[in-house]
Amino acid sequence: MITSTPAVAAAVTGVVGVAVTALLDLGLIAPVALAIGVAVAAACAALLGPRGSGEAASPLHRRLVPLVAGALAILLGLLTAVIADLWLIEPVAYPLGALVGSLLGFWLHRRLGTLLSLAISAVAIAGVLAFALTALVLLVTGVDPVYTFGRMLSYGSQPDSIVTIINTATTYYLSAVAVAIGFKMKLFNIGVDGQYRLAALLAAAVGGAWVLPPGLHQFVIILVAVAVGGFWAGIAGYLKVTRGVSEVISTIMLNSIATGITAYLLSTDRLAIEIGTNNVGTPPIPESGWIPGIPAGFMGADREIFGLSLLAVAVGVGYWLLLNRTRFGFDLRATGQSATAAQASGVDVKKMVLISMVISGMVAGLVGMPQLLGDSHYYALDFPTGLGFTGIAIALLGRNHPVGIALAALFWGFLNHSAQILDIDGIPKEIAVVTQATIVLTVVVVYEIVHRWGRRYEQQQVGKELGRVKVATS
Amino acid sequence: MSSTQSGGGAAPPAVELRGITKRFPGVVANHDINITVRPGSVHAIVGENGAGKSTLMKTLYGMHQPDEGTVSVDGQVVRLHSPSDAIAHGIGMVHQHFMLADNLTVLENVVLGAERLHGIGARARARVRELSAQYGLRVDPDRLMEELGVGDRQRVEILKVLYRGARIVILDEPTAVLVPQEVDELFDNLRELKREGLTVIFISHKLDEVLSVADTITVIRRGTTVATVDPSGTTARDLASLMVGGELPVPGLRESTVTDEVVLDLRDLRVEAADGRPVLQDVSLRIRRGEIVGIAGVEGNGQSELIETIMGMRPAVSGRVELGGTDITGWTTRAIREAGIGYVPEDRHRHGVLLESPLWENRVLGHQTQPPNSKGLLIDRAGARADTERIVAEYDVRTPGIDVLAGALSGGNQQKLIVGREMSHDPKVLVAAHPTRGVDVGAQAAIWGHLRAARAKGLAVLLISADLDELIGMSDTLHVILRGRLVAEADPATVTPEQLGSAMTGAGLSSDDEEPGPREDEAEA
Amino acid sequence: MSQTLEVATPQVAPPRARNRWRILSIVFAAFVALSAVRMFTGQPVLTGSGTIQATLAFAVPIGLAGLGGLWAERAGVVNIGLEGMMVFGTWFGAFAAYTTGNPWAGLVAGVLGGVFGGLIHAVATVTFGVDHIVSGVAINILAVGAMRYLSILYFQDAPGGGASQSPPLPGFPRVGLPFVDSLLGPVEERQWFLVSDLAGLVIGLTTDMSVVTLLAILLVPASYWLLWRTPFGLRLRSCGENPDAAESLGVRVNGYKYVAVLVSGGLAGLGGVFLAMVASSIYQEGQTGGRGYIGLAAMIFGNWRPGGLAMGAGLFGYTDALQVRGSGGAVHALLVLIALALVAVAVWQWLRGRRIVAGVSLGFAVVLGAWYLLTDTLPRELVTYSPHIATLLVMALATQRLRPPAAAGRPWRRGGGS
Repeated sequence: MITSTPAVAAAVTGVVGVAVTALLDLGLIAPVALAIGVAVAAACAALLGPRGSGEAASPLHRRLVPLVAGALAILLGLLTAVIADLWLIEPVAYPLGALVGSLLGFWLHRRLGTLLSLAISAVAIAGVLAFALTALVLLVTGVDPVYTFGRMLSYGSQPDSIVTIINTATTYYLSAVAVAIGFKMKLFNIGVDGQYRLAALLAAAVGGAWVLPPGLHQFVIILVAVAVGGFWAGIAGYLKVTRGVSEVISTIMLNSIATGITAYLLSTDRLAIEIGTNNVGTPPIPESGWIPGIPAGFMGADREIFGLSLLAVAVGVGYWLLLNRTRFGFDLRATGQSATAAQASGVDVKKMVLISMVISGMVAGLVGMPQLLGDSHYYALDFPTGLGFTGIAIALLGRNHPVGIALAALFWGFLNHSAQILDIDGIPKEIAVVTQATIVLTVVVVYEIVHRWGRRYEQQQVGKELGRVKVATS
Repeated sequence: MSSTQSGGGAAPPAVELRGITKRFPGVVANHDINITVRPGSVHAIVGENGAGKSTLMKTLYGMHQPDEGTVSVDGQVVRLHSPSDAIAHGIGMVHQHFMLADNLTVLENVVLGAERLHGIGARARARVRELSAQYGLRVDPDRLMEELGVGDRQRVEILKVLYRGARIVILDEPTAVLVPQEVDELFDNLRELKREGLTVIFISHKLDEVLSVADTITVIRRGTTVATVDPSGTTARDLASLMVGGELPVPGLRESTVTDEVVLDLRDLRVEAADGRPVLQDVSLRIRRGEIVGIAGVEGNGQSELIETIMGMRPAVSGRVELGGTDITGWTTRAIREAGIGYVPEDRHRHGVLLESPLWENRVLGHQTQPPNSKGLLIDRAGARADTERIVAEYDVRTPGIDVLAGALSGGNQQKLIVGREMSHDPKVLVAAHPTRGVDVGAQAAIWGHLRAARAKGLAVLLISADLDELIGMSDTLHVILRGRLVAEADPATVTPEQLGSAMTGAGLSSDDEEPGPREDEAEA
Repeated sequence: MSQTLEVATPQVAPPRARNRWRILSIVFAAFVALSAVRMFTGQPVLTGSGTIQATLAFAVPIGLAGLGGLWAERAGVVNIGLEGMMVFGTWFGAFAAYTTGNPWAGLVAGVLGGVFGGLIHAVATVTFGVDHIVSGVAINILAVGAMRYLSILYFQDAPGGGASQSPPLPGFPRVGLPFVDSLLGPVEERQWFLVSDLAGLVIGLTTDMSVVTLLAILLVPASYWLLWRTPFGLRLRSCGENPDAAESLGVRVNGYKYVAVLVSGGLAGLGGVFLAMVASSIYQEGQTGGRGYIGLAAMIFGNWRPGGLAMGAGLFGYTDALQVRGSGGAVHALLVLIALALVAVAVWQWLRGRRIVAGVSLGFAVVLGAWYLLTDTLPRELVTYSPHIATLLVMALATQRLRPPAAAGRPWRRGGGS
């Protein structure tokens, strides 16, 4: 093993990745060249990078982490290259992707923990299983799975498709983070669906009713949404801490009640006006309350990325910081693991339940905002529904990890959007739903198996380590 | 002493274990165990916590299979794949943690799994009554399980075994939760079983009890049988040296360090359960600097409530808790911890550690707001990690590293981490509930050592324990709690476990007629 | 499992027999009050035989889902996937009934569809120890997606079918006692206090009932007998109370959990069949409309006991029925009943010395009374969701008195106990 400073090692890794890719690109097709380049770079990283933490001692860690880091690096490198390729020439885009992939590979190799690697492997296995099952379903119904997946991939990687995928993923991401905050506390906020719909409706009504200076206008709309979402989730939290009502049932009931309230309010007698034929909605928000999109012309797309996708990024970063770096996050995770231990440690568990439920609802309140402020500008009967349940699925798939959720949201958006093309070929586009449903179910099962195995392995390691000192424990 | 002993006479041994080895991932829990149990005898198996007794009993009860070796019952080699197999071979087991469903009746608990014998109705009820009378167990089949106390529950457990027609009864640490008087009753029950021709296998680490009830004693150390002895020709000291390869640590204090300065002052505390029933009444207690105050009591008499009230986890209806003159009644747990009360909880898995978090996060737990764990609103990872390394070294926590999950450590090491963490914030008062429960002798001696050292530096300790020897040895003052009241105060220098036991069950402290004697536990462990 | 917060320790239940009489007398008192409210408000719909029949029709799927929940939770498995299992029931029931033309084939297929959903849940939670709620939610997502795909494959091109609905399905035979209607019908129309109401009740319960309804009603006592009166039931319940104890006595815990979850799925599937083929005559996407969840609520309302959950399902069915048959007016009349009940609660709490609770109850009673007097009808959108509001209120008021199986929702593994 060569010891060197991380910066030098990272630079070496990056250069190796780019050089190998650029060279191979002359002979092979670009994606293959990139894959090999990043793989070589990852191998370098494995040789160069002695890890700081004591975990490196375990053979599992030594075997698993380079593999997972390498695979992730290739995947992310390819993703970067494909997107960069849309506005750069191929000989530049792919080495650039290789650079990103190599550096990521190096970083991941140093930072990934054993348990996180296990989780990533579990998701990967579940993904493979889900695709295998989808392929099987397609075969049984007489459709060529390779052709189907190929169609989806080519349609899904077109510039306009990418923008659409990012936009839907933005919404999904917010919804999934809202769910994940609850999950971290072992609280099941099944009510994100009701929370965001009620929040979007009232925010749209306020935004449409008032004219305020730009900046303030958006702020007020978002503030209303956050407040309504937090309040609606807070009801479930309040009932749980004061009356012991299971939040699972209460949020489900609150979803239905929210449906009732939106139906009641969304009538021309109350908050709504006629919008087009057979559609009523809130009065449109004046332009001072819009949030402009990010032009995506650089990648050759005509559509714009939601301006609020940046908000989703900020929410993700905030979620990570809150959870891993703050005392509040520590208390929250502790409560999720063991409410009794948290209470004994000085956490006010009831307050924690209420606060995290409200925070979850506040984030849920944001779910409808990208659509409302970036696209439709009013809340009508055709406002997207069911995003809360999608959020649950994505949070499960992303294992409540901010980056995992982001990838899961993009994947979900990709499946949804790219399947649209299948209708043209007479293949039911609902096949995407089958993939989504199976992957969620397989991921929870595979994760459980892998997690259990990992824990036993850890125990075994400790036992072995201490076995030198002490012969037997029971 | 021979390592095994052949069965006497023509009758084959009731149970014979030959070369039993059981491995778990990473550890060998049992290694080459050889035990022969004569029919109609009480055979004790002793060993310290973690010596492998429970693993062995699970093997014998079919809860897992041995990797090597054979089990014979009445001379026949048997393979026990499940508890049902064991039951079919006439083996019954009374578990250390009672295996009873609270929301079912006594009858339902007894007949569960044995419905074929007498159904689940009137015939079964009659049979339960009959057995109860025959063995003097005094069990009412129609009570709801949750209404019963510890002693009653144990008798239900024994009845469950008898109902199935077991000829071999295994009791795993049956006396751990009983007071001396209840132990005597249990032993009477066991002798009754023996008279009826049953074989009893009795697992314990309490040597006096073993010597008084057993016909044969097998000692287990580090997962293997080291000796089988006859109680009439042996002493507790001999057994102890067989058990741990040396002397057992003895709880004890050196000269008094008690000062006049009251640190924790409880006045007329009254605490009620959710239904308004009082669980603590008129509890007044003072703990001074450098003093260890022990609370003796049968479990469920208000000890947990007392701790939870002091720690702010349960509100007091009336009365005051003062820490160094400051009224801390009604403060939050966090504020109370910050004010300087450390807490070693009774159930470490429920209240003490996060099993799925790394050690360094467990070091933060309970002191999230204090340095070196946090800076402002943020967690100070570097500080907490460095301090965890220190605790691991100073308190001899056996672990490969601080990123290991707490659940991967043994109970003793988890407990050492907890004690180390609580001591690291210079507490004024330490509330220690069963600090050495379920830990090996090494950890036990270490924890007692830490308590002594902290007491010498002026720490005030509230010690709650079910181990009366520990209480008597480690306390400067002893109180007895019964039905939520402090009913007696005893001088640990003179009181005996029997006297304490009778006070714990409400018979009162007969301290008038006891002769003052020298303190027996002066010896350092 | 979801975070459990112990707000209060449950009180020791009074002897069962006394409890039973108390419940019966409360039910009777409620019926008398209902009759009085009918006289007072002039809303014959409140106790008409048609309402009773509609109540049954609405209550059956909720009750079947609730029974499914009961079976699973008594064995220690929380089954939030009931909704998905009902969806399986609706689709497979419709598919088999449509392809064979025989409703009974549909019934069998629907139940098997539910069992299939139960099998997924059992594999995930029992064998692999996945969190029960997570698995349930995943099954609900799976059911909707998979059934949508299958509908497009099999129903889209069928005559009368479509991407989200099946062709018309055959119905089940209906049964009833003859002469009851002709004998009691005139009595019901007289609008006598209590007598006419009783007549309406009897007619509603004896006339023109689908055999599936009858089957569903019989499943309640059958479940009670199986779970509380047989060794099988004792073993199954012991798995939900203390699986370690059950295992130590040789009970094959995982086997019983599997059986319970499969039965649970089958019952939910039957509920689905009822929705597709009795309450309606086609399969439609979204037909279950959250009844799986309401079923769970009914089970909680009934304190995890069959009789209680039947009452809960009846209550939810009744609000549904009123809203469909009498629209806003009848439910509007119910405001009086609720106000009366609140007054009764207020008096009761006052006597027990809980002045604040009494005051709050009285306050709400006054508000409801005023609401009744100042309006003529309730907004339709809110009436639709009155069962959900009722569930929330009931749970807020009663959760602390409930006694769920001690080990429900906890993942359990063999050999976990000491």
